[in-house]
Amino acid sequence: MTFEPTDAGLRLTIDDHSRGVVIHLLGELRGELLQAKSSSVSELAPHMKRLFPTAYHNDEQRNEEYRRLTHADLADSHVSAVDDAIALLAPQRVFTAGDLERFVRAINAMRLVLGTLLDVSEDEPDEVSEDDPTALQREVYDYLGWLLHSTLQQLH
Amino acid sequence: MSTVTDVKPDSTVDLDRPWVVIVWNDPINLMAYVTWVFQKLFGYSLEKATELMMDVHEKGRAAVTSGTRERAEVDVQRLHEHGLWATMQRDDA
Repeated sequence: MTFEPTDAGLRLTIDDHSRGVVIHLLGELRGELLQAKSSSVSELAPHMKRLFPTAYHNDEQRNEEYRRLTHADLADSHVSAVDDAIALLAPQRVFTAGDLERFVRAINAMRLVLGTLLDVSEDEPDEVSEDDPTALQREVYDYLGWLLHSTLQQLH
Repeated sequence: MSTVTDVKPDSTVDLDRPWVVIVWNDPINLMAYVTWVFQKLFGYSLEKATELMMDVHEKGRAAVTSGTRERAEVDVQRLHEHGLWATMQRDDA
C-alpha cells in the first residue's frame, strides 16, 4: 500500500531511499525549470521543451505571442507544483485531496522529462535489460509511473 | 505520432467558427492520468473523460473543448500546466 489513511488524511508510505531519490530528482527538475523560465523555448533541451509545448499549429507568429504572454507563468506553475511535491515528501507528512493533485502534477512532469530523455516509445519492453546502459534511469522511470498510478488511485 | 492539418490563414477563415482544443497522443503520459486531467479541468464524467482519452490513445488526437480563442488559450495553458500535449486551431467541421 503506497498510502495509509490517518485521521488527518493520507500518509505516503514509500521507503526512505525511494523518498530521497524522488526528492533529489525533483530538486534537479526545479533547477532546470528556473533556468528555463529565463530562456527562450528554442534554447531549451528537448526534455525541457516537453514541458513548454507550442499552442498553435503552423502559426509561429501566434506561438511567439502566446509564449511571450505565458512562458514565465507556465514555468512558475511547474516550479510551484515541484516545490509542493518536495514539501509533501517530508516523512510523516499527511496529504489532503488538494495535496494529492499537486503531487501527481509534479511526479508526472518529472516522468515526462525522464521519459523524453530516455526516448520512451509506445512499445517499451516490460523488463529492463541488465545490459542497457540506461537501466537505472529506466527503473526510476518505472518507479515514477508506479508512484503516479498509486497516487491517482487515491484521487478516483 | 500523427501529423497536423494545416490551419488556414485568418483572411480565409469564417470568424464565427469556434476554436477547438486538441490533445495529442504521446507515449509517456499514463492513460489514467490523462483521464483524471480531463475530469479535473473540464468537469467531464468518468465515462466522457475515458472516451476522450481512448480517442487520444487510439486515434492520436481528440478535440476536448471548443469556444472563443481566449477560452481555448486558457484551456491549452491549463493542459500544458498538467503536462498534456495540447494545441488549438479553428474548427474545421
